[in-house]
Amino acid sequence: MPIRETFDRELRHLQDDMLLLASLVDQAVGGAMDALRYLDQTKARQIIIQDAELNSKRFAIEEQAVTLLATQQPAAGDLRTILAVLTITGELERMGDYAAGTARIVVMHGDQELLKPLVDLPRMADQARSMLRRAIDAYVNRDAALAQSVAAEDDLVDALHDQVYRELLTYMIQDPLTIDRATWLMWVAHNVERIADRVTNICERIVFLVNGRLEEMNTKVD
Amino acid sequence: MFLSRSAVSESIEPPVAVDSRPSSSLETRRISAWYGDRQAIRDVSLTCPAGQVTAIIGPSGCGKSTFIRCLNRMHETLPDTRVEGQVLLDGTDIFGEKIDPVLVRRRIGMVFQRPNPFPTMSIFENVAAGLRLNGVSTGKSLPDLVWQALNRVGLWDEVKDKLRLPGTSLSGGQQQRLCIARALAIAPEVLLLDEPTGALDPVATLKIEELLGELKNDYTIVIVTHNMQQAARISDITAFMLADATHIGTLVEVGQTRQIFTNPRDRRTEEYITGRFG
Repeated sequence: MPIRETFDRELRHLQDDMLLLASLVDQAVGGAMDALRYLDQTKARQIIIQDAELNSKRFAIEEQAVTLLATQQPAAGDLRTILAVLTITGELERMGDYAAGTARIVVMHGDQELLKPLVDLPRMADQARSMLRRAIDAYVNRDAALAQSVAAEDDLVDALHDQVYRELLTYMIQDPLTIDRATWLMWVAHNVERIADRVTNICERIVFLVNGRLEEMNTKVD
Repeated sequence: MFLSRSAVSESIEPPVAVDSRPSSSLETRRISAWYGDRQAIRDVSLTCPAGQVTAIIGPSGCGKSTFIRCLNRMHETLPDTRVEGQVLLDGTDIFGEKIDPVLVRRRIGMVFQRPNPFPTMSIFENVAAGLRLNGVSTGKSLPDLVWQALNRVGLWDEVKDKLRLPGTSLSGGQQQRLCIARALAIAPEVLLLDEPTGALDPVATLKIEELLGELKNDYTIVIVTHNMQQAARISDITAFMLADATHIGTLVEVGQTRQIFTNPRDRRTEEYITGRFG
């Protein structure tokens, strides 16, 4: 018998909204990388405009969550769910910001050609997107083990980042005229690396949701 | 120990002074209780640590009120009732052969859901009654002890000009604080409260909760409440009871309140505190 039918419905609604946001962010990350590869100015501008929508969706979710906290006195699993939604939504919104940042770099490029055909950066983005999608699976299935294994893949993104960074340095050293475009690509690499870090944070929250423990998963030494 | 102890000789110091009087832990070992042939609770083993608030929660019929009434031997005052198991107050079983139940109830005081000041007595007399009934002698005068108790529950300023008025002339919340003062006047070590704010409005409820938060520095407090949020607000330890398939109350889970309300171990506890128990 559904005793708290209203609350259950609102909790489902809250989580569905978060999952929708995750899907939009995934598309924004992919779209930004495509815009960069092909220097598609139209697509880039679209991503920048859509970021505002992501931001307002995030605030709407937070408002819903706060209302549930204030009015329903959630405890135990319900409380952890709402708290997880709050923090994950914040991470998703920041990931959207990084996608928009990448799109802005496309705009900055204007008429200039890319320094080189992009190989590693799209690979990084694909890895980060795959991590996000599987983190969302872990959330939906309350799978702490999956969340932990996804978080561990952040190392792959970090390794690619270092590779890209070194390669771009080489360009800059060889030809100072490439510094502008190389720097922009470094920012893109940084953005994607941060996107993967955010997914790791999401995985931490999923583990918290499942077993009530907060554990650091980002083992990067800064 | 029970026979020779004069409870009030360790007098209650005024709240402003540093109060280092020790409170006592209460430990139950496999407490079971019956009303006639009907068993109400089974094998409840629980430790209520000294100087902390232990809340007992659970749905109606889970046996929590029966259980708390075993803790100061009130259960046996009803006809045809029985208790098995042990209740240890600082290591001594209150059900021991030579133990006087009346003296037990002096050291383990009780406050009930419906405020019950003695109707024919004044505010002053209500607090003094316990002292007089127990024949307690002490270095302090009776008015001093009454002042101390009323002050301790934050009632003194509200009643100091009307001590001769009947106890029943006070509001519900004030009456309940008066009952707490009456219980504290004889300097118990443990305070049991059975749904103490069940009949009170939200403001009076919160005042009592604030008071309990202060009192736990000096007393061991055990509170039965059906208000889960209250248990979450004021207790250090929460115990969840449930009637099993044979309608006998058992202890399902006990733990730090923070843990019970964020990550309980038992599915039944989770269902109850998330309001999905039905």
